[in-house]
Amino acid sequence: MTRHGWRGFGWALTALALGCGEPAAPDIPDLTDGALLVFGVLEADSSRQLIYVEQTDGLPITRLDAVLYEMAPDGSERAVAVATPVEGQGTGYAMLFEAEVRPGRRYRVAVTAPGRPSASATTTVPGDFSIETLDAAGDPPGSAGLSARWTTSANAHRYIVNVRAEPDCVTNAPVCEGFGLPWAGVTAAPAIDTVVPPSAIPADRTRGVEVAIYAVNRELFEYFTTGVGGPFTVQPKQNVEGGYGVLGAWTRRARTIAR
Amino acid sequence: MLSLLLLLQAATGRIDGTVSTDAGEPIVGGTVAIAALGRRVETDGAGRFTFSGLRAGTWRLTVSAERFESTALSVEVSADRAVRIDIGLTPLDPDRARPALEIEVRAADDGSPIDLATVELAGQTRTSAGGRVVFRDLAAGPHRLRARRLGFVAIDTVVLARDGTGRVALRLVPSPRDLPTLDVVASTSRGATPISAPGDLAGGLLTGFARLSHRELETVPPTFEPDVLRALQATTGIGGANDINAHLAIRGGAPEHTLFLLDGAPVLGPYHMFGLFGAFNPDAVDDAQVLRGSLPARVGGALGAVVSLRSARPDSLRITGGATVLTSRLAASGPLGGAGSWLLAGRRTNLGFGKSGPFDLDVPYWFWDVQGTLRLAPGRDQEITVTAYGSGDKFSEDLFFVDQGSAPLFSTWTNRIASASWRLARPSGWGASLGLWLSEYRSSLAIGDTTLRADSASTNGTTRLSGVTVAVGRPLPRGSIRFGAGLTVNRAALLGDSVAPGYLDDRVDRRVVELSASAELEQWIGPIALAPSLRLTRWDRGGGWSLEPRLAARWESKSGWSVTASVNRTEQALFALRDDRLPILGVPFWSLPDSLEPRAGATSVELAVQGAVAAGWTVEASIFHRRLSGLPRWRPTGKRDLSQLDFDDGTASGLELSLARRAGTLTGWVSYTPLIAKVQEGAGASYRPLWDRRHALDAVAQLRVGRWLYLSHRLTVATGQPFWVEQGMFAGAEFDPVTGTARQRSDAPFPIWSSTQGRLPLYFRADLTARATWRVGGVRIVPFAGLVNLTNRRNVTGYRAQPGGLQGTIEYLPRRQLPRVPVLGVDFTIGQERR
Repeated sequence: MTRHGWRGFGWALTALALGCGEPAAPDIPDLTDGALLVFGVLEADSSRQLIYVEQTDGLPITRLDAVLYEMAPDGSERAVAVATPVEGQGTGYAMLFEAEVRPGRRYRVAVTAPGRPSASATTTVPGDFSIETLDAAGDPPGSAGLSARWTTSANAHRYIVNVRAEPDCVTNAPVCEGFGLPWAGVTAAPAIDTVVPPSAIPADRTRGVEVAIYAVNRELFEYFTTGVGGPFTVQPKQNVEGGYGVLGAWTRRARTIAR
Repeated sequence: MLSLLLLLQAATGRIDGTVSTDAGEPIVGGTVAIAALGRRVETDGAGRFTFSGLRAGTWRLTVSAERFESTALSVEVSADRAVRIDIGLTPLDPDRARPALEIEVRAADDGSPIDLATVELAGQTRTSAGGRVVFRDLAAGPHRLRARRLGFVAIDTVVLARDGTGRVALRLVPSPRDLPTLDVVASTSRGATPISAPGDLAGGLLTGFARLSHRELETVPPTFEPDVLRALQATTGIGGANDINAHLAIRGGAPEHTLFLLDGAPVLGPYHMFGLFGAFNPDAVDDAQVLRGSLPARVGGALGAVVSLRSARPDSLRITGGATVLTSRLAASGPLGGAGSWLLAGRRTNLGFGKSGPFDLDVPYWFWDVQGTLRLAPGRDQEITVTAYGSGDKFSEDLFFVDQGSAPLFSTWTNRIASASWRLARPSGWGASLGLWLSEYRSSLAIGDTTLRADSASTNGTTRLSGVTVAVGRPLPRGSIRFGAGLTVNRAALLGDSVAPGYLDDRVDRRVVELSASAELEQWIGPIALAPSLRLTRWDRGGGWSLEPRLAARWESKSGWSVTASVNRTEQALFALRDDRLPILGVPFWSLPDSLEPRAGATSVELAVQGAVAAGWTVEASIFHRRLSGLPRWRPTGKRDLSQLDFDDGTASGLELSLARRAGTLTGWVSYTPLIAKVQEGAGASYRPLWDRRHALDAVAQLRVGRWLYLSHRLTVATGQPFWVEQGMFAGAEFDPVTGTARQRSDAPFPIWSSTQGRLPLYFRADLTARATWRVGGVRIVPFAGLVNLTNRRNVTGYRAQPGGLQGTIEYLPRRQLPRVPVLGVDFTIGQERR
């Protein structure tokens, strides 16, 4: 073999050695910075606001502080409540603010934990609104037509209309059963005309049927409708700075229809 | 149409000739006959003769004269052309009666007589004419007989001459031989017509230009099956995104920045199987031209490179086809009596919907493509080309995704293209061209519902381009000038359904009318040429004008080496939607931005050197820098809607080095392409696009072993791609109608990405294919077998975080690319082989 031939043979062996080996370890930066996951829905007119805080690095949270601020139109803010943990086991906690949030107001939740980035999120509670008309025809109610009108809620991105039998979670605790298939409709306008599937309401006539309308703000609704797995994963819409998750809000109005 | 074909078949030509002695004296009264037609003429006083009104084709002439040896020869007649031949006759041997051994030389496959074969016997050498040669005065006994002819296997044997007379029949086995290429100095544009055939990009001071013939495309080992785009991935300066896609990323541009043309008409989404293969039937393609460098004004309108495919232009009747495990294909083509050519080609998957294959396979995928081309040459300098193309893909399967459960996925997409062009290309004076085309691309994608209905499909897209172009140009004494104009209507409609979780949650229907004008000049002054060009475009939306200037200069040595420098600006409005965090890009959807400002644009500066280093060896080196602006970036963080479309700026710098050998027993090329690409987001952050390969080495070699075996090898070594690191698995939230509360959903966690990029490890892949070439009767049969990823290198295309990453330590698991995959298939050709 000529000198060039040997050289080519050497190159071929080198290439084969390179190709037969396994790929080296990936060049992946360390992303475990201990950021917190915060998930919460502020409910207008309620005196109890719950948020859920969880670690993302597998390490226990040694201490957790959360403060609820109400923000003024000029950007200033004042603390309205400090949260206390009501449930948790070191890696995740449910935190309770004993405070009432008001429709149309803007709030900020700040969460801090030693050795972790601080997480903060703001949201605006949808404005006050009232149900003007509600007609639920048929038995169960709505099965022959559900028609409702309500006033517009400022800052509401969508309205979720929920029809269900009156909850009876006390006697059926801890699992609320017997509600039939859940049903909820979504509308952008302050009105709905639809038909509720009879299967959504149980045949038990001892309980009335509740029609609840949730005026949901944009960040919360988008969070509900994103975060989809599968071949074309849709990432969740989040609004927590310095962490993950969402802080949203809704204003709820409901009427009960006796049967 | 049939009558038109018959009319074309009836086009005739003529033969003009003379008959003279070996000494050049005209032979008067000689006889020239065409036995097939029963026609016979006598030579005049100057030894001249004429046959007119001959149909195009090959005619056998016999020539005789008193006291001269008769002879016969075949003459190729073309329509509307006069063939001139001069025939010399040998005086009759006065010793004709002497003993003679006649050697008959014919082809072994079809028995046709072989002319110009060199026959050696008993120290004498003769050249065959009319398939025979005569030796006289042979001594009795054995004699060594040798016969050879280019393109046939030589014969070396012994014959026994008993008394110096007899007849020996030789049958030479055809053995096509690759002849060394003739390196042509690139001075063809000097004084050549600037009106090129549809889809022909060649001409002018181009840089980064490559033309691969059908045979060269065959050189690249197939990945699953012969594929034009996958073959191009192995050529200089072209990178694939990964093993999965047949996409072409060129000079720092995204795959959708490459403009695809078929006979001059744009092709959108030119892929099958979610981008796994190209949508072009290799049997229907004459060559593939790639223009990576700066675009001259006559092309324009594309952000990156241009890939142009031209339909086959056969000069004889030919039927080709082939089959692999995946597909079968067939193409028929032929000339139109010297007045053009025709082509019909089709391909489809072997298994598919409504059809169970062997072993009751339920194959969820089906695709097809058809292509027809009619090329007419009504006059000496005119050409009319009509091409129709269609393709379709359909997929339906309940896919299972690790960590994400199963999801029914239904997808279809189709391409329909029609184009017609007329060209008048005179060697001197003004030429002109007119082109019309319509290109429509439809795509649908549904997840969660396997029945494709208008109200359930997640996303439907229709993109329709229609245009007309005109051009005039003429050669100058040492250059050329060309003017062009075009009108294009671009329409992109996207209907996204928010009910099902799908690709797009938006509805848009946009149309843009584009009016353009271009001017190009090329002028040589000694060894130096200058070629300024300008393309001006007016849009009916977005306001303003688009200006695409180009200036190229070339110095050319007498030995054929050239140095070319160019600077240009180009812009593009239409783009493909691509969530660039998905490594497998899926069915493409095309869109137009709401406002055409900013348009995606690129300003390039380039220096290229090319030449021949030895017979058959060519070398090319290009260094370039491109500034990119207004690049669409669609990286939705919530629902996929077009409101999240952003526009970035970027840069790409690189070098392309290539050494190629296109003739001989060993052919192929080696190319090395270092590239640095970077994109700057509007907010100031920057990222590396997926095609920032840093270093890429591609080598393709074909070795001919013996008479009928070819070994093809492909080697690619490249820096790993950048990728976005998954932050972890995230449990979403939902409204719970049972309790009327919002709650976290833990049953279906999904990945979220960080804004941090990592880089994949070194990529290596070697493919090997063996192709045998056998001729059975008049059929050339080429079975092939090979292995993709010969060394079973476990390349990766990304990493996914372990489930629960956001609730625990993140562990990244690799997503593998192609394992070692066998490839089997067979091709065949009836008729003349492709060049």
